[in-house]
Amino acid sequence: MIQSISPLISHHRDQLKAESRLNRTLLIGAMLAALAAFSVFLLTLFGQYPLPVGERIFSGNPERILGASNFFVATAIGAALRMWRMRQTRIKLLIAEAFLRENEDETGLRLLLEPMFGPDVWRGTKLNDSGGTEW
Amino acid sequence: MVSTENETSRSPVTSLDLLMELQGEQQSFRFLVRALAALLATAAVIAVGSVIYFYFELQGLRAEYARQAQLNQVNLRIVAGEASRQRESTQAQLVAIREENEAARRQAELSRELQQAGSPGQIASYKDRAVSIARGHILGKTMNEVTSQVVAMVLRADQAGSVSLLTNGERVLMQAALDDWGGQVESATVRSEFQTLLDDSSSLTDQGVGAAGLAMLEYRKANGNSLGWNRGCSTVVDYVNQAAARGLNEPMLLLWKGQCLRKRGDALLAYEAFSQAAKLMESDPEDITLEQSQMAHHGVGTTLIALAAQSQLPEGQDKNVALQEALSELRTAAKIRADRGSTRVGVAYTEENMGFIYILEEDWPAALSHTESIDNILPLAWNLTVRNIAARENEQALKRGGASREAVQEMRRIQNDTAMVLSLMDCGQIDKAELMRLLPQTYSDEVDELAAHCLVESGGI
Repeated sequence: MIQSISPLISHHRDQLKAESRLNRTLLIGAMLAALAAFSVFLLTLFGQYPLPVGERIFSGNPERILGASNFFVATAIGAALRMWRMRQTRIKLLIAEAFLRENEDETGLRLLLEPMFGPDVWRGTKLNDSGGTEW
Repeated sequence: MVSTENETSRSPVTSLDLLMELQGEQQSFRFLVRALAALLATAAVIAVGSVIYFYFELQGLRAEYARQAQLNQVNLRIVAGEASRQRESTQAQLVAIREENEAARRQAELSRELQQAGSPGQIASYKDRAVSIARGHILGKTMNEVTSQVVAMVLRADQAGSVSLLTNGERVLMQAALDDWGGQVESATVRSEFQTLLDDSSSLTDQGVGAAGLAMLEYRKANGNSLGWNRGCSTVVDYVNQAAARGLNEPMLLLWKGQCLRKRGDALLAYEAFSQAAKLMESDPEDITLEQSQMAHHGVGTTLIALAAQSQLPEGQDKNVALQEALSELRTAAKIRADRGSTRVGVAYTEENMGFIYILEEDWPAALSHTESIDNILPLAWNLTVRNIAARENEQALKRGGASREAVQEMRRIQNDTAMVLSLMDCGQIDKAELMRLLPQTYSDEVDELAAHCLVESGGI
């Protein structure tokens, strides 16, 4: 049974990876946008509004552009945090997969389930007898 | 890639796949760390930029707030100054009434005599006095309740009696003076009476008095128009000259002439008129009112300043001596003004002109302390201009002398404050044309700068 879920884990891992790629694009995009917005802010501050539109709104109030660049920085930070979390999950799945491949089902299962449900997941099961951790 | 192929074939993963995966993870971890570092740097730059930007923005707001608060204060001072002016003008009217009452009181004896005098013969003995009272009224010594009675009684006796007491000229003169004092007759009537006196009298003296009467009427009108040359003042000078041509040289006439010429900018002619008036007063101080002597001293002082400022002093007159004389003349004028019962504001009007003397003497500290004491009483346009110039010059002097930064800063503060008050002042008060006559030509740019708002108002002339 445990053998049959292994491809599923692989598939989920790949999904996570694809999502992570999206996050990476988002992160780089947001960072570049933040830098661009900050440059526009500096140029506006020195009296040279560079964009073809929005001069009426922004040229007199450079702090609005500063607000935009802060928004992009916050987006980039969010994307980076999501990337970090998915990476953690992916590595855990990877290791669980390795154990399953080596027929260490119990360790594999623990690595799969414990991150989600905590160590209490085994309470009341018969795994104690098979030489698992004392619960 | 191996792992995707694996996944599509749904076969179990090999150790090699896992190793590749792990390497991939390692790479993406490195990327993540770099990205985080770059992100931190970007965020730091933006944060620092924002902090600097908002710091300066807030500084600007604070400065603007301080400026507004100062503007408010200055406006309050100007309004308070206006109130003081009003008080001073009320006080001046009170002084005039008191002086008139005082004059009447001194002649209480005359009043008693008049009540007892009944017969035409007794009244006739007052004739000479009545004529001189009427003349005096025109020449600056206004009639009062008692003296007007003398004139009226003599006139009545003359009209009622069978024998004519007065000559034709005397009769017209007395009637005109009485009409002018009473104020109940139309001014055109008074004018035509004086005109008759000037045109139709046989004696030169009467003609002179007629011209003097017309000068008095014109001066009164011109005084209401701030003594503008084309608003009556030129006619005043004209009539005074006609009176003088007929042998009437009286201090009051010369003072009117001087005032008008001074306003026009003829400092030298005005000075001559004022000093001639002052000389006449000295030789015959009997009938001189305090107002006349105040006008004479004030006039001599200011015209001397104007002459010194324009380097037009009469031949052989030393500039420093002239300035000292101007200073003492103005002091005397201020003292007379105070003695007459003027408020501090009235005295400040006269003392204000002393500031120009300090400027001409290049005594900047004296100019600063003098202008400060005037400014504590009320803000006056000329005083503020002098203060601004003195602070400007003193700043240069302090810099040359290597004085402390605080002292230089203080001078700058004075310049800013005075310029601000001046920029809010009415242009009529600044009166640039006359102000420029009292200052050396070198300060013309400074005055232009300080009165910039007037330049805009007058359409850039």
